[in-house]
Amino acid sequence: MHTLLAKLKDRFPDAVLAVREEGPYKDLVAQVKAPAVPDIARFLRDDGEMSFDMLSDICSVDYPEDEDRFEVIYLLKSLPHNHRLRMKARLPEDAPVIPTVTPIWRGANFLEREVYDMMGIRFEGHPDLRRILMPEDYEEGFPLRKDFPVEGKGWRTTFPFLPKLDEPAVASSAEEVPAEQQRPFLIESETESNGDKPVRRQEELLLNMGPQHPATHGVLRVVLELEGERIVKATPDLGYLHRGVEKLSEALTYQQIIPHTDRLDYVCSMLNNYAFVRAVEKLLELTIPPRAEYIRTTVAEMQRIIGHLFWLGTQALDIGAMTVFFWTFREREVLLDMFEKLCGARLTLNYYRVGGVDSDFTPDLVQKMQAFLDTFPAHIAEYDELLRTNRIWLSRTKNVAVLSAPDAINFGATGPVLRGSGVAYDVRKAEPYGAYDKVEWEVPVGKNGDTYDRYWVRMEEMKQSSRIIRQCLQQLPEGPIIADAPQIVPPPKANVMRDMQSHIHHFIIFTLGFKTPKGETYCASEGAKGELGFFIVSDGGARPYRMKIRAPSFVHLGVFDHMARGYLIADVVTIFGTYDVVMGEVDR
Amino acid sequence: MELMIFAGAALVKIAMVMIVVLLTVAFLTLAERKVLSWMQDRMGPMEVGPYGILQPIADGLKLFFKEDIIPSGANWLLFSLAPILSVVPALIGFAVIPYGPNQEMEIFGVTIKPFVITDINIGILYILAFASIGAYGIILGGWASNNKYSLLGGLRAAAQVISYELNIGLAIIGVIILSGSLSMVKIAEGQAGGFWHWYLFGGLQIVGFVVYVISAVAETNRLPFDLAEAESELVAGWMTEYSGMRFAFFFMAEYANMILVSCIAAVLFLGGYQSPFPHYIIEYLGFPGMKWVEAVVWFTVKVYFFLFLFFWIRATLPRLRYDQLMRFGWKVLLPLALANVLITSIVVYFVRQP
Repeated sequence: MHTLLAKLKDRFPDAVLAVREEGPYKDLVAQVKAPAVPDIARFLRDDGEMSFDMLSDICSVDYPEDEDRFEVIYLLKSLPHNHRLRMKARLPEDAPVIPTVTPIWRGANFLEREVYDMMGIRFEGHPDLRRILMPEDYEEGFPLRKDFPVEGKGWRTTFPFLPKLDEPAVASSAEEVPAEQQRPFLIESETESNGDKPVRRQEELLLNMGPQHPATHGVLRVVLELEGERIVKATPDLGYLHRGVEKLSEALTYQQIIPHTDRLDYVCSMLNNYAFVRAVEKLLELTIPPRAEYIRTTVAEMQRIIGHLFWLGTQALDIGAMTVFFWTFREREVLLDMFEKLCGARLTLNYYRVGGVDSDFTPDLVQKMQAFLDTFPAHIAEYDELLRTNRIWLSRTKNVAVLSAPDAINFGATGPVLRGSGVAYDVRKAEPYGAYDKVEWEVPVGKNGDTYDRYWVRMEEMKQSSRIIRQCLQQLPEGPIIADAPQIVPPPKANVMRDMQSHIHHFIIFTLGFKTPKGETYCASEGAKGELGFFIVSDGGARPYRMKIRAPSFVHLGVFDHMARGYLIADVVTIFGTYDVVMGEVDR
Repeated sequence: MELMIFAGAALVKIAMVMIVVLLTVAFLTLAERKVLSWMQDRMGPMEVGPYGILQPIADGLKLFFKEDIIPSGANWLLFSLAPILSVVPALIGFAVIPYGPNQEMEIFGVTIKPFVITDINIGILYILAFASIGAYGIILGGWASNNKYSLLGGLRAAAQVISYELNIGLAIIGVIILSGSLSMVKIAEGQAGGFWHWYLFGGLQIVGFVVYVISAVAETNRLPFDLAEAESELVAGWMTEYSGMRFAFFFMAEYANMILVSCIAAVLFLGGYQSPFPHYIIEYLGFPGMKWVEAVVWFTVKVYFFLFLFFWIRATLPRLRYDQLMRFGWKVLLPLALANVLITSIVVYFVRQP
């Protein structure tokens, strides 16, 4: 047995029910008693050998047949030792209550709210246990439970809550929002000395920013409590773009889920595809031909450049520098054209396949990429010239929204947000995949954890990405672009149209899907925003029993309040920009 | 009779100036979009007319036919008054700007000055006084909209306009000391004889000029000082709730203000209509009677230089933050302007010792 598991079992002989190494990759799993979760969590975080300082995600699975129906799974990551652990606790159906781990990992706040929202598991001691993705007044149950009705509700026109065209408009009342509705967005009032009941100061202003606001990057709503222009409390309100991808995917075969992942972080579809197919391949123990690995890495880095260009443009536009936006879109266009050549789509791409990729690079495309790489550094210098040497830009980004390294880890921040705070954690380096361990590149790390450092990190990452692409193109080996696994990979399209055998083969794979071994797997990849993880629970069928997406933007929004307090309204848009949030990913 | 001719001539001048200013406003919107798109590697408006030159007309028509919405809970009187309060001071300032040489013309025995609507002896003071009223339009518009974003925009505008108006006032005192007059006509006249006689170079008002230009950008609420509008923070600031023609009035006021401050900068620092050479080129060519044409052209060129500068700044700089703006205004520009006043007056005192 793994030493960590042995140590854990020794330390908590009663509370830890079972420890095991699961699956082909020997994932560490500990089954614990629900009431003991906070104690074990604290030990796991603080013990020198364990130091699971980051809570990647909290997942919940529903097993209606089992005696203890619900399972809560904590996905832990240790940055100093670079190992992962899954801590599981079972809960009975009649009392789905578990103590919160918010005091241990502050990032758990949003994650626990999501579990509550989706599965109806209550977290005892949670500071603000409200629904997060579903509407606040949603009364139809908890969507990810297996007994939640998945049928439609009839015709859209008959929905009672949609206004009819011939109905008179509801007269808006000029009255204030009731105090009860305002309460979640206000900071806990301090008890003043002249009385024992809490008194609120009256100077604060509650400002509703979004979901329709030019700078909130989609349908994000933030309720700001202001004192003058200074932010006292900022509460993100999510879920306006919730489409239930996790629930949907329970009814889809693995290939059918790939296009749904495009719609998560729609700015960087390729990276989502990549993260998902990698998770499925990990489940299947499938090895990928080297050429496919190189192509995947190349395309992923192209997509990362696109994502960062998009971020740079919008961040600059939010702060008011409009020219950078158009310049970055000029380069983005070139890359999108290449994607169009490669797979026929520009934004919501569906290029990765389980086992490889869809189509091969053409010499023309390689040449175009090389031409792009030759001009790209000059373009980066161009953006830099407008921003890095600009005193206004510096004063708007330096020392704004400072996030210290311990806080960033504790909140579960990943990607450029974490690296801007000076933590050199990059999934591509820590758990190499694709061709990342075969090429030379560096992880840029910031110093102060302010917006400028995150800007700098992303700018450097673009340079590193182009470095990776250049090396990948040089090393690109010959060979097949998709694995030779007839159970999983459909035959080439040309054969399908010619011989009956392939035709039937193709038909079977696309109608029945492919079976995966029973088990669970968590697979993290480095998205443009941070660690993008897919946790798949398979019951041995062709469809995932449960799929949980660890969306980095969602976790980052959990840090929002911490980072925004004390800054001005003008900085709010800077902070939105600095996370690079994409609401498709947050709301899923 | 004499009065009627005088009034008639004044009306004609006013009509001419208004037509020119409003047309410039209209095409300035197009010019801005074209200049920006040129700097940003794109085409700009191309659909309406060849190269999009009819775009302002289409925009104007669209705004004219848009539904006029007064939000519920708004104070309709102030809400309607605010656009007017914005646009009138912006247009009224053009009354004292000299567009051409200080010539006199005699029509039916009445002497009039064709290139300035009225040459009052406190011209610059009059402009400053009216410019301050423009701020009321923004503040009232923001307050009357019954919208939190508008209110914040209005408050920001109030603080900004007050602090930067002070700097404008101090920055031009140097010029007033040099010219010894508050009349715009006299100030322009005093800079004749080549660009080394302009107050910018000859009067060494470089600091004053820089302070004035920066403050003028802030005064017109343009990037990087468009905090009151700040579309990425406050949606559209004090204009959030405005639509249709009321919005168009604010828009016109902004562009008219841009032209006005450019005109003032041209007159105060760059000699107004004066040629940068000792004599007008057209005089060398042998048409001394036509030198007013060239004078008007020089004036236009100078004004458009400033307008281009506005666009250029907008394309380059990000927006300042509220506290940074105030700090910059009070801690950097104000001491600079004061020092400029002090040094100019001392130098002028010693140089002009009889």
